[in-house]
Amino acid sequence: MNPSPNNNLERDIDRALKSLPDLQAPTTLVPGVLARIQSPAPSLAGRQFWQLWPAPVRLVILTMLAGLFVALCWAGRDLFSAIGNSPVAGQVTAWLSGLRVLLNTVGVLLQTCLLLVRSLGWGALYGTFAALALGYAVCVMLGTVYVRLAFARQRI
Amino acid sequence: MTDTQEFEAFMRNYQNMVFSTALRLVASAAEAEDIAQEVFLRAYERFEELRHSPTAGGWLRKVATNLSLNHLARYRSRWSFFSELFARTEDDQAGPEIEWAAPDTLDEDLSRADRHEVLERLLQQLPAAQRVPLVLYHLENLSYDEIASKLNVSMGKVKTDIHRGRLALRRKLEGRLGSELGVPQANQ
Repeated sequence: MNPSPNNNLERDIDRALKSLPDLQAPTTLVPGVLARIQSPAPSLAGRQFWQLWPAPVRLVILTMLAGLFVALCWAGRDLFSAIGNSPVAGQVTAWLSGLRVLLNTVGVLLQTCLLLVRSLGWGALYGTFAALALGYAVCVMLGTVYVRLAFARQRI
Repeated sequence: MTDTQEFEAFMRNYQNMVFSTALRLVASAAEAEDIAQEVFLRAYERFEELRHSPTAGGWLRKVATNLSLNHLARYRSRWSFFSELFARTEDDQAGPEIEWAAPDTLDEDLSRADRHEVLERLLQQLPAAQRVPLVLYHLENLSYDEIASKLNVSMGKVKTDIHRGRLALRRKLEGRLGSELGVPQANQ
């Protein structure tokens, strides 16, 4: 009985792939590992070892940080009360008035949008969102195609 | 010999195997080197166990495979949809299945090293959706079930992807090497 073409294909691909020798590793591999072993990244000390620190040390640090936060809040409150009685207060009020104008403009824009939606209906709103989503999807797909084409050209 | 020197000798012994395992899965030399470094850093943490272990090679290979699969899952999942889309288009253009050529049509001029190089390159050019299960099945000797579990896909998809990968590889090989697969035929 003859073996099926699929069995032949599996057997031949298996033989071809298993005949491949190991590839030569880059010469930078071993020195790179040794360098990392001999000088571990300094960021690891803070990032990874936090969980390894003893619980009392972590508790002390957290308490100190909480104390610092409370002190800053206290200082901020005192600072604002001091500013309120000084000429600087006028300047701060001027800055805030600029911010108020900005907030008013945003409010007017939002009200305009709301009126527009009411006059056009919710269908128009959904249509706009659908068009935006479609546009986004098209951009992503075009980007993907360009990236793949670029990689395909590099291979050639 | 110090521990570091011993570990260096250990790495030199296994570096090609670890690098090849990673490269055949991720198809990028830079990424494969990063993965190989990570494998050896993990090996260093367990060097006391591994230094005289007869299964050290198998352990390194398994870690390299798992780290490569993790890497692919983490950084490339966003492209998988499009990869499969394109791969399917390429398959659709494959045309009818080609008959195997007789052994006497082998091109003797092409050296074994050249064949290996071509095969390696063609394997890396396969889309990840085909290359990864193909490598896991033929080179890592995993079953369909194990591959499906590792890749978190159905067994049917694994079988289909492996079959497509074989067909694509054979088609590309026949385009590059003439009408055979680049290995001597078995005694029949």
